[in-house]
Amino acid sequence: MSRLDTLAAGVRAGALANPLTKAHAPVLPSLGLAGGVYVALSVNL
Amino acid sequence: MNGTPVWLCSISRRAPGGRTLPTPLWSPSVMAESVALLRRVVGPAGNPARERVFRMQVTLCLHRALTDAEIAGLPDWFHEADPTDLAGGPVEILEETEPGAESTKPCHDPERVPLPGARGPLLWFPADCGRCPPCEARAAIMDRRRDARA
Repeated sequence: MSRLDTLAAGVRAGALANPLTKAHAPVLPSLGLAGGVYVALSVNL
Repeated sequence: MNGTPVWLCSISRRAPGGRTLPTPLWSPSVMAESVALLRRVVGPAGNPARERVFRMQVTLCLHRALTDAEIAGLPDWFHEADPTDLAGGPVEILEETEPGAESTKPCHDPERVPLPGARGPLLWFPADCGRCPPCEARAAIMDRRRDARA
């Protein structure tokens, strides 16, 4: 499993435990990637 | 997504030199690669049969509905908390597996609010016009919430 996939799995688990409640702001935690690509993930309503 | 909590995954890109690369300047291949990356990051989570891909001027975003098991595992406060905000409309919906409510649709004539510190005509946030059906739908939601608190 690549580093990205491992990192994403951890972020998914964290996001379920700590969802960002009903907000639309850019979310954390961020998955910074190489090459100027930025990804963020959360659970929202 | 029609009342179901969603995974929200967003991607932004910078051009060489560090400047933000607005989504209208992404090539079709970069756009496709970005959608694939969003799905890769969300991975096995959620229900892929219930998705929406939409863009803002800086970010490309994926909504994927949570599964029933995931919803059951969310902390109680998520279900009990009052809404803190209502997301504005997207700039463009690129694909969706189920029609979203009117309130999820782009404003027909948004004010283009420049992003703080941004330079360039493509770096803006859409502010609702307040007159088109999607804006009226979002306003109606806000009115109902305000009335419920009164």
